[in-house]
Amino acid sequence: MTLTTRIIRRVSAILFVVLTLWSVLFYAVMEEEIIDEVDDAIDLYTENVITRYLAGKELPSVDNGTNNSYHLVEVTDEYARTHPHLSYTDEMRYIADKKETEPARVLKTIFRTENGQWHELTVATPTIEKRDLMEAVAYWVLGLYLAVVLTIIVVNAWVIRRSMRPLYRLLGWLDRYNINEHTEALENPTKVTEFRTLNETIQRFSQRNQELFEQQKRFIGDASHELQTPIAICQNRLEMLCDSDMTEEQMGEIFKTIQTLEHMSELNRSLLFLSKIDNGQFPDTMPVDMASLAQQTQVEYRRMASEKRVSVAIRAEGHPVWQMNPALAKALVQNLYRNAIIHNLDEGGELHIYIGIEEIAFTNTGAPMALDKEHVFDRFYKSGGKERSTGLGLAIVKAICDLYGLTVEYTYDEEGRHTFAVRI
Amino acid sequence: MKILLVEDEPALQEVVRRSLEKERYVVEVADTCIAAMRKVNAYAYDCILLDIMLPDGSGLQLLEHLKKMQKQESVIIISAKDSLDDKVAGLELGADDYLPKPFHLAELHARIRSVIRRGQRSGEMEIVVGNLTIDPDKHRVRVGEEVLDLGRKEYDILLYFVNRRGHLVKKEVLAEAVWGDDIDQADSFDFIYAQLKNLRRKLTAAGAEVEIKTVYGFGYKLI
Repeated sequence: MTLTTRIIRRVSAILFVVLTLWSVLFYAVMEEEIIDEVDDAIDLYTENVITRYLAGKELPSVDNGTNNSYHLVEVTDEYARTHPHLSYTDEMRYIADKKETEPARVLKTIFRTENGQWHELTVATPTIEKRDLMEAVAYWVLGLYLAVVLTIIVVNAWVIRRSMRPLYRLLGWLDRYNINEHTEALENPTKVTEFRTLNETIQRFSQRNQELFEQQKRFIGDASHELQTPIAICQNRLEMLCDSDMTEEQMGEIFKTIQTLEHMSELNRSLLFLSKIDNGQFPDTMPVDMASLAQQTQVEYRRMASEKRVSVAIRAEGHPVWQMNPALAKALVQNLYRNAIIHNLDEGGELHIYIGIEEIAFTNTGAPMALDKEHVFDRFYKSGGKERSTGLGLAIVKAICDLYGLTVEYTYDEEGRHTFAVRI
Repeated sequence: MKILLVEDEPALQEVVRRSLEKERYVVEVADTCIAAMRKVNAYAYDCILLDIMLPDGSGLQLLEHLKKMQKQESVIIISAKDSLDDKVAGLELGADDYLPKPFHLAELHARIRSVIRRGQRSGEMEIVVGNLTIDPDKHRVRVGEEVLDLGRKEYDILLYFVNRRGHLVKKEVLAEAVWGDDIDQADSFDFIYAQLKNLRRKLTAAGAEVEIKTVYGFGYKLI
């Protein structure tokens, strides 16, 4: 929903309520005013009739063109005592002139002549049709409402588009902004204080962000260099020791230490790779043929598969091409492959790789127990503590999938097969 | 054989220098780009080991300098920057090999031997270890005067060990190195060890003075 739509919707809703209330009030006031006028007129007429009657003058004829009608009867003392002496009511009356029933204001008054006889005078005067009035008011208010809303839409669309122009320019700039590439400087001149503040704040933030990003990038590169060198030194010193005369037992110990160092170096590389992915340091993408990538990986890792005696089968349907960074695509496939080999059975293990147009799936035999779906992609999640596992392979897979909006799912079937499937 | 080691990290410099000296190379060291340039201007080396990240610039500058001066030194880049761009740039500028840190010393020595041998096209090509002589051009191995009849894989394994003599070779690294390029049923882990066993038997039978020793199940060593 755009800002304009939202404003128009809200204003329309508020106006609807306000105008409805207003029309009800307007109707009530109007009605009271009219009744008041009618009552005044009817009072006057009644007074006239009573005065004439008491004075013994001729009463006005019923059919006198005023639409007023009256009716004078003698009533008993009993009736006079039990009825109010003055009452106004709204009734439907048959108007002889018009030959139809119309709403009328009726005044009933009870009075006594000099000889003590009670009389009741009923005067009726036609009044307004309430329904008609209500309808008229409703129509006009609805008309007013539509007119106002239409005006608001037009004015809003125009005013917002004009006065919000700096905001839209800023949004466009933010949309183009990419921390990895150089984005042109923000050019958004405006006299509105709020927008000027917004411009300055966003510029300041993006600059700060850029600096932090650069720092982070440099830190990652430096950390990689700084850590690999001491590891290399330790490793080489131990190797030199190995080349001198030593007992086999000593050599065994040193060799184990070298292996630990290699593991450390691998861990360091994986961690740095992971943070590079998270920092979006692999921005360029190109079409990658997943089937040939899987085949290439199989060739590169066949020593590992052979060592674990795992038989590998690839089934590819067509040549799916995914738009990815080539290094990340390679890392994705390699990590899934390594994972499937390392966590395979020690004897008679199998790995089935399926490459479909929208899915790649690695199914391997392994421990007869499902992994924890919630945590299998966590960093340093380890099941069974395999020697060659860094605990980061699947975290890297997940990070790459998240980067490209791919889904990765782990499933386990009862025959002890673990499947990791990546889908577009 | 004279080697120039360009490396700014003192500890690594020391360990590599000592290891090279044990292999009877003459080693000179430089810890900056400028120092390295002065040395190559003044002396000739058989091989230069070059770190890319130096305090006063990139090692690639030295490569450019060598190229401009039309020097024929063999160069092996040793770098912790495990990036493909550097590797490509280095090899394009005329480096002969690229070895990412951390590396095995055995690997470093093998690479040095190999680039030096390539550099001496005209010279003696045969590798001699004790009474064992290998002619890499003809893929022929002799023990004394007797020609040893080796299979292709057996020859590959022997050549790999001879280039790393005296150093421990991890079994995984050996398998990786002599693995063929095509997927072949014979290319299995077990197959390589069977070949290694045959090779040892043939060497002993021919009375070779070298022996491939197993070290504790971690690897092997040619002595």
